[in-house]
Amino acid sequence: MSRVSRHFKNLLKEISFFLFITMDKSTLGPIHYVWFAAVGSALAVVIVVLCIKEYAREWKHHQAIARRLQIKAVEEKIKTLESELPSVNEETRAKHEDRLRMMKMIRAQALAMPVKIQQIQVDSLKRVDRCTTCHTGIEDVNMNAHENPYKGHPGKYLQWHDIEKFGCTICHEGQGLSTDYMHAAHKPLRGLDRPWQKAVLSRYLIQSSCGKCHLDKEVPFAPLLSKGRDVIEKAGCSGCHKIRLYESQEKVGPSLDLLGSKVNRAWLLRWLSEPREYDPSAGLIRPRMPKFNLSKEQILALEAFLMASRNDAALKEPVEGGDPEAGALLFRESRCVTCHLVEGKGGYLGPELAGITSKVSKKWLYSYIKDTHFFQPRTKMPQFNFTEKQMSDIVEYLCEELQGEELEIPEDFENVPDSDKNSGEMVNNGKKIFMDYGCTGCHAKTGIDQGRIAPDIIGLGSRDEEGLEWGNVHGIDKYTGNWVFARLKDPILLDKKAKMPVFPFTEDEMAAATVALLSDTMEDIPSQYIVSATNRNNYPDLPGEFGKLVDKYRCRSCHVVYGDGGWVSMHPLDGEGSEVRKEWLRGYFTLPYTLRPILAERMVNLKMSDSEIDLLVNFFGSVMVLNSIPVEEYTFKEEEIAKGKSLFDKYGCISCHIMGKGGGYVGPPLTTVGDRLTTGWIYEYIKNPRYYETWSLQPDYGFSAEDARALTAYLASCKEVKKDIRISQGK
Amino acid sequence: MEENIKGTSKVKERMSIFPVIITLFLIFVVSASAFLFGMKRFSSTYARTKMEGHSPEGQDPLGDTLSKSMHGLTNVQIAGKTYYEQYCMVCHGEQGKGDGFNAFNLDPRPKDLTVVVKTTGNEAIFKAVSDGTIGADGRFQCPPWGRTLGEDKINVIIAYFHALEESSLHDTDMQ
Repeated sequence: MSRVSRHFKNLLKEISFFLFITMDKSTLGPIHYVWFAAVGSALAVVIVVLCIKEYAREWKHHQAIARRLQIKAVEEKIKTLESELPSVNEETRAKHEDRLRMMKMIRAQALAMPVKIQQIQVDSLKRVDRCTTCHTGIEDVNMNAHENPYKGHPGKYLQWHDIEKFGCTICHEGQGLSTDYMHAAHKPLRGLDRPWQKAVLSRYLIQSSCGKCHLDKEVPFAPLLSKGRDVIEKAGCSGCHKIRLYESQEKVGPSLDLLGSKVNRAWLLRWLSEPREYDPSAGLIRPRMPKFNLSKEQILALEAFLMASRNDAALKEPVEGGDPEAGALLFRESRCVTCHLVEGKGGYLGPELAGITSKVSKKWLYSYIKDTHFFQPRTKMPQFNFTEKQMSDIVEYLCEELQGEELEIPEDFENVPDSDKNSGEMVNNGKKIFMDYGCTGCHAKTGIDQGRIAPDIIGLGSRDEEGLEWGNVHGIDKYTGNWVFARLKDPILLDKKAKMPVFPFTEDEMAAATVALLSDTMEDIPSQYIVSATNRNNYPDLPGEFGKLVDKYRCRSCHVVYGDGGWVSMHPLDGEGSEVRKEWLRGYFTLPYTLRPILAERMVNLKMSDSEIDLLVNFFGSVMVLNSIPVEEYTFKEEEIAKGKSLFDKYGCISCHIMGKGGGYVGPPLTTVGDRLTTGWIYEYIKNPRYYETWSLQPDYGFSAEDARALTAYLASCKEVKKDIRISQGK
Repeated sequence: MEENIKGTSKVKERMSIFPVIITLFLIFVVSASAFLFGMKRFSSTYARTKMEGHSPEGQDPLGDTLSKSMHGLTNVQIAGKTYYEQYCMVCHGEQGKGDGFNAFNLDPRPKDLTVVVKTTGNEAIFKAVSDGTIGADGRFQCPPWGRTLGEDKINVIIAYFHALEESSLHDTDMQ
């Protein structure tokens, strides 16, 4: 035994020599040749293992299966074609044989295809993708029913974007060069397991990639992205953050100058501490005001600062004798609900009017309607041309019908003295908080302009997720998308000191906004791939008398006028002079009526003066015209009208349009369309509906010139001789 | 190897072969097990099974919310849904049952699309949507959408018809 133990001692010496612990060569026996042999054989084993591993790569397996599936599908087709061959008649026989030959060729090709790594190299986008090594059938429509990775690409996305020109990872992300499931980053992983910065985008998140090149607001076939962009615009994210595509957006909130004269103190305290209390409806319906993470003291200071800016001398007492019934008629006639909500129903541009008295005083309501743009210079609300009596009527109606309960100061704030008695220190403190929390992002305030206070989120989609602060969020996949989502949901969870407020989004809206925000990856996309709206004639400020009227009546709040505006109607007014008749337009300005019965939004009755109407009608008729539509009216023969009537019946126009007594409510009623539209417009529109309105629902029947003329003749003959106009008193 | 050992033993003393064999055997066992462990740990199949072992619920709030709001439809079907809602819904209704708000106005009533997709092939549906349908009296029923929508949009709308059919099956199951 002792001999054996001695030998072990010898061996230990060998090991210590081998590990460079002792360099005493004298004690060395010949046994170190054993080590040489051991290392050599280990190396041999490693080489063999590597060879085996390389031979048994996953993609080879997938390629073999994919090829088998493809050949099987082709052979089935060949079989059916061959069985059909005897029964085929003479005419189609040649075609049939051609198809058979083609299928056989495809089979031969598939059989001869070598097993190899496939690679797509896209120089312009700086991508090299080997995804097709495993996903071999991606371009094959016949493979659609199979499971991944043998599946064909769904939809027509590859027909629109040639795979040789775009590759895969420009849309799907992940590591294009890898031919291994995990290394290609099919799943978002973190830490040591993370093979690549950006994992393959999940099912719906893929739509964010469309936004890399498609910079329009509406992206075709990517509704999530379009919705997200809409959310970002309406919520006014760009007030605080610099976001691509929204750099020049206006502030979404009202101006806070003179707030002290507008609202009462109790309302403001409640509003600052919980905006949802005023209107609990979630989503992008009003109010858009987010909830800030403010302490009681901060709210009081902020309130002191805001209430300090007032000008009570500007407020005027309403004239005596307001009649609420006349006001109610005027309220409906002026279509206030086009923009304002009343108990949750109506447009989204203006604030909720139900319970308005718990927020503002009668005096303010009257003064605001009287001098709208003095109190809110950038508002979307037009300056109505009401008489003083009418204003008094409508204020009386609002205060009586939409009365709200008188608010009391919330319990927590009761013991605090009225802000008027507060020292200047508190006001200064409030100003600091006002600036600190970025209230100026949404609200204008004279004397305070500090730009965007929050970090730029340009290139948010390309952020390295390892660098993101996750705070108290645990147990979720930590990739950039989830971070943005969590940030929108509850910023405090991620960062205790976050100043970002909680927005009243629904979860769907948050997710859609995340998709849209991730679309900006700051990648260098060559300009030939960028899809963006064509530059329209954009006049930010319209000149002259017309410009003054457009500003006074805020036409651009609803309509697109020379490339700007259009929050309600999509139809641009740039060619309106060629579309409608002058007499009709004059009548419509005097008393607007509903053109589309199903829409809640209608043209507002602005009570314009006759001279203003004259100016607008003349301007529309002479300047806002389309060159492609002739000025002269067509004249028609009787038989053309008769033919048009039969065509109108044949093509089922009455399904969507009202004509006479019956008809559908999808399109505008056509009973008196001859009074409204010019013959030139009717003809052009029937012939090619989407040329003038790309979003038009009017189906394109592909009418011949003769048929279109006949239909135009019939429609132009649909006139009403006499109109019984009922309007309220005073105009 | 044995020769070497014998040769050197003349100089010093005889050395037993057993410790060497035992050591080599140990080295082999350790490296083999390390190799096997490594193969398992770092292979893609292992990582994938580990991934799939996770319960997906709650792991990915964004993905969950998106699929909830999209009702698990494919991207093609979602695109179809937006166009369906713009162009078809007024007559065919939200669920495709032919009960849109404009349906009362039409004679015959619009077709129940969940039935149509079961009985008619995709090519025939495409033709009907694209060229319109003409009744026995020679009047148009469904207008021809071919020129307005184009082939691609009609195809995604048809994909959504199938989603409508599936959801209607689901609804009856629920009942």
